[in-house]
Amino acid sequence: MVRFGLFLLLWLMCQEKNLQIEFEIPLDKLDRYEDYYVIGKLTGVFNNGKAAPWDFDLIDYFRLFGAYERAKGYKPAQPIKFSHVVHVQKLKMDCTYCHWSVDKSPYAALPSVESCMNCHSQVQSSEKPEWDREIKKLLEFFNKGEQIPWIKVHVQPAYVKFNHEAHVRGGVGCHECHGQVAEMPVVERVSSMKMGWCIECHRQRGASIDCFSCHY
Amino acid sequence: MLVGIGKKSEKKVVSRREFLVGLGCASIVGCADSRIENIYPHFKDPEYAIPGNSVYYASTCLECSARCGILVETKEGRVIKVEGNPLDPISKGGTCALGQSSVQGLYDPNRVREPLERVETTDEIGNPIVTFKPIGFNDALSKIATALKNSKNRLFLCSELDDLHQKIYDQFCKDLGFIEAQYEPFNHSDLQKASLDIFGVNRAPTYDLTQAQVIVSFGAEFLEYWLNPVKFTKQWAYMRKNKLCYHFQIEPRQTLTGSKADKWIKIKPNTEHLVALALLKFIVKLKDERTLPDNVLSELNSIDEDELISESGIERGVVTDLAATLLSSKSSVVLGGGLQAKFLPKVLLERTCLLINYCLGNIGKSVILGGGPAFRSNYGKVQDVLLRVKNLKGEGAVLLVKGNYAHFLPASNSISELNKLVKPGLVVVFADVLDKTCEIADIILPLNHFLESFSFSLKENIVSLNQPAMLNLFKTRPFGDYLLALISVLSPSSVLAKYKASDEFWKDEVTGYLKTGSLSDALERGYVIFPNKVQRPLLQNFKIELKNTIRAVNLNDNKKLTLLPIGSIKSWDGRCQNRSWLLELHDPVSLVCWDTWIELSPRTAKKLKLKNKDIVLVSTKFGEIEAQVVVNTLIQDGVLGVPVGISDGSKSLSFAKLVKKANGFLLFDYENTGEFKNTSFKIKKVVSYKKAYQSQVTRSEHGRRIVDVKELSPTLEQLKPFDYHEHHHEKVDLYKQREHPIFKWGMAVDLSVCTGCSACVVACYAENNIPVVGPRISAQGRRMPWISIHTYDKPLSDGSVRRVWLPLMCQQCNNAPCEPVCPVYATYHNEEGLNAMIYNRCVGTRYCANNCVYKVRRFNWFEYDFPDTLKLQLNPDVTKRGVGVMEKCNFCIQRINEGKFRAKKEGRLPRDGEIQTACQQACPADAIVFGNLNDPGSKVSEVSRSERAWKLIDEYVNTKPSVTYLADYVFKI
Repeated sequence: MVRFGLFLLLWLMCQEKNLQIEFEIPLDKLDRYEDYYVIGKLTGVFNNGKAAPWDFDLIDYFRLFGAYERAKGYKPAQPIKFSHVVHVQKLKMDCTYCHWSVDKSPYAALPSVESCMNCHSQVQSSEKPEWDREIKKLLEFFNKGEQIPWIKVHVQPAYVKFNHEAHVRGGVGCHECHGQVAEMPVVERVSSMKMGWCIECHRQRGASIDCFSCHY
Repeated sequence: MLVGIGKKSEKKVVSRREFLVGLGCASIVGCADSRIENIYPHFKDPEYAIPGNSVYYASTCLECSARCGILVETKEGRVIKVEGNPLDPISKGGTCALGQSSVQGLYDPNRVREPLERVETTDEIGNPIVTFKPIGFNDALSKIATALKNSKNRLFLCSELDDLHQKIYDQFCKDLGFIEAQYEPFNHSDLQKASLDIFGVNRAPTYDLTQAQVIVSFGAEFLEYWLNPVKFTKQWAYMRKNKLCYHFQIEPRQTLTGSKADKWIKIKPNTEHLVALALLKFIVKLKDERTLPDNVLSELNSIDEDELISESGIERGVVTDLAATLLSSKSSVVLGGGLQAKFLPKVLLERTCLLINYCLGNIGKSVILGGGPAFRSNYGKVQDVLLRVKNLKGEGAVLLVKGNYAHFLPASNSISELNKLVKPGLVVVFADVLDKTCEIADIILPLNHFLESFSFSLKENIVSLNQPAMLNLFKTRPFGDYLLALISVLSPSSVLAKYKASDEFWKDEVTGYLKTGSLSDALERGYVIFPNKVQRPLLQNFKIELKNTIRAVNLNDNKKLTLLPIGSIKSWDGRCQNRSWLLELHDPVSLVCWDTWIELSPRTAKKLKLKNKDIVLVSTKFGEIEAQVVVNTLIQDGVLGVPVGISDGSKSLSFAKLVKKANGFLLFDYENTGEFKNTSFKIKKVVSYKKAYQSQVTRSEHGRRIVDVKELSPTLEQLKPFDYHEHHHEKVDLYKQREHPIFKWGMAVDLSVCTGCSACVVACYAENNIPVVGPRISAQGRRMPWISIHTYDKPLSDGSVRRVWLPLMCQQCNNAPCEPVCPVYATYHNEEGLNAMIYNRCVGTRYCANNCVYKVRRFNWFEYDFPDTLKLQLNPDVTKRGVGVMEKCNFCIQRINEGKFRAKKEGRLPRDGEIQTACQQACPADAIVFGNLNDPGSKVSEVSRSERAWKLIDEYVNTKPSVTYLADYVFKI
């Protein structure tokens, strides 16, 4: 019985589509984003976010065990409900305006509070009360002189050294790992970001698959 | 799975197996790590820093008086590494172990974090309890100001200062009527005194070893800690590599410098000056010129050189040969001093050495008068300092202290004694760490580390600048700020009263030195060129003062053992007592770490019935130390070598407190000369053979040929005469040859210039987040250095012994024994020739370490923690290894990847020498070369093709290492 159960589990894990559990977002948080359209979150993600068959992991599929924030579909509520839909899709802002160091350093910087205020010193309120509330939160952070404690969505373990600059310069689009962020009301992890997934892409593009490229 | 359990539970029966399954599941869920990680972006983006990229600041190392130029690497606003500044015209990119460890001084877990005030209470039984409570800056300063208003007795005890703070200190003492008292235990004021006596130049001379074909050193450890070791090592290594240069070292116990000498002359302790005098007499006689003043000549004629030479225990021929070599060479230099000559009237030795240089015509060539640092007149005289303290009357006295006086004051005049004299006056201690001196303080004022503050130092012909590389870690202020604040309150008419902070004064001063160019340019390269006014040397009226010789000779009592102060690169004068890297570093001569030791010759040890690793208690009437016995073959008989500088840590220092009863300074007494005085002592065995740590069991090669030394005749044609491949069998290989398409990283280490200074070891600790394991685990042989200095004693043809230093890191073998035994492919050979070690794959079987023939793999037996603020030093480019993981040198793969990527961005291959490993960068002798072996034109390929090249034990085990060693050599003279 138990053996059969385990076998079933393994089989199910390989059939990950059957197990795509919608990530639960509390209704009160969700209903504020009725204006956003969803044009298929997974477009453009390398290999549809799927890992190699040998890369399966309980974490991705069940989110029952292991690190929660490293699961595909991780979608934490942020301190400010910043919407990429408004900023990128509607206002046509470039990714590198805010994430300015993505082609200069291993890290893609988050915008400083001051750089948010470059625009929001003008845009201090909104007609929509739910947007207005979020802008007020930003102003509060600015007035207090505090940093915004954003919650990390794409978490990698410490033994992986990922270099944004190398990938962006190498012609890897942001969306290939991060998905269509422009269409996400709340940023979510769309790819497994497991090693098999990375290596699959490295193989296809002829990049180094030496362990020392990332692990040291 | 959970469903299955539910089904069973209906029947109320859970089988054992299912219970275990359920337990397993539950434990997995329980172990799930669901911490939410936050990212905090800047509130305001800094102007020049890109997160993730290093920012380098040019600065100056203030650890010793040499003031080497450094580059401070910062990431995300915190200092992570200190490297030598290659632009610095004096140190030229070299550093020493002490300088490399200065980051740990910044992140010392026991930094004074805010101003503290003494609170004295009693416990229930009535025992006094002393605690320190925080106090505001203004409160502290106003308390000092009020005390100063009511006092007439004011003394400022101070250690060596950089030139900015020296100026402020001088002005402060002048304005507020403080008596100045500065003292450094290891100082060179005798050198300055000799220079003043003979040539009228009141600065220490400096030396240019590139102008010297013969170097004769009377105990001066110029490759370790004498005057400017980094500069001297650079110059000496340049001469050894490119030109013909002989080096003679004359001392009772072999130092690292002595180990590199072509001829090491073992003399009796405290007789350096006698040999120097005899040498001077021979030179004067042989040269047959009346270069010296008549009174000196007549003084020289009155001495009997044979008596002097026999007193020092060597033969006449040695000295006459030395004189002949010096006279026949085109250029030479004679150095004198050092720690082992501490008992001597050192001015005499320094004077004699300067006179020999003068007779040989070296002044202006290899000896640059007035080029060195200017020491305070009262620097070397602890007696002056003590007298001044004793003159302080208790009532209303104010004593300001900067420097760890509790550590190096003699036991008879310890700091607590001084404190009693001053009480009930006010004692203020300026401190960066909570050392023993802080225990006497009424108020402790926290100081900035030099990596957090502005200052400048006058060096030979430049003004070396300091700039803060990061914001203050704690509520601290620069030393100058306190003094300026007190000046502005108490003496508003002073010239310095207009400055509110020391950086304003710094800016004015540096702009004054700046002739051309902007201040920001100067800060970028780290120095301002400011030619020193070189005074023309004029022979003054002076005497050699032979009376002193006799006194020193009397110190040597043949029946008793002589106490000899010895130094160590791991401690220097003990100011870096709380740095775990230095504590864990083994002293290359004694092989001891985390402990103190005494050195004895085999014959003396036998006489005293002591063996290696016995623990003994050495006590004089002033103090005692508990030390490990180290039997050293290269120390004079009848001598007990005691390292001074190893600290006797205060209880509040988290690392130094692990070393107990270790302060060698306590054994000695000072007399009117202000120098150490030899005293009678007792030695008692406490434990026989403690399981103490020594990094090597033996220095013998056990008949194998591990390292080699070649003896050369001193003619240039024969510089490269030997073929090292005689022992290497190019036989049929069982293994398939590896292919390395683009890169094959390799390293070459020139043992002929490796001085064993261990800067590479500390640099490696800093770069690669290597954990410090502590004394207990060290004693079990589980230290973690990725590169360590091994030593072997090689007998030479004339019966002497050559001690060879072998920096041993992972050899990145082509036929690596560790690779095939790994069951999980955590270690494998990559196509760049590296023997990769992947931590997240490692399951900790330790087969690889067992199979490694070089024993360079290190296993994490425990989860080693980086306490408190030391976490901030960790290099974010390198993974911190957890428990159960093997680790080893990987040729600084993070630097290789960075260099490769930098080149790729510019569409090229990395240039030769562009990628530097941490050990290579730190090496002051440039002994380590790293590069691509596939490129036949690269430096490393060129060096590896040298006639002296060989691969370590490759001839026995056919590992085909990527590291090439170049054999050591000595000139047979």
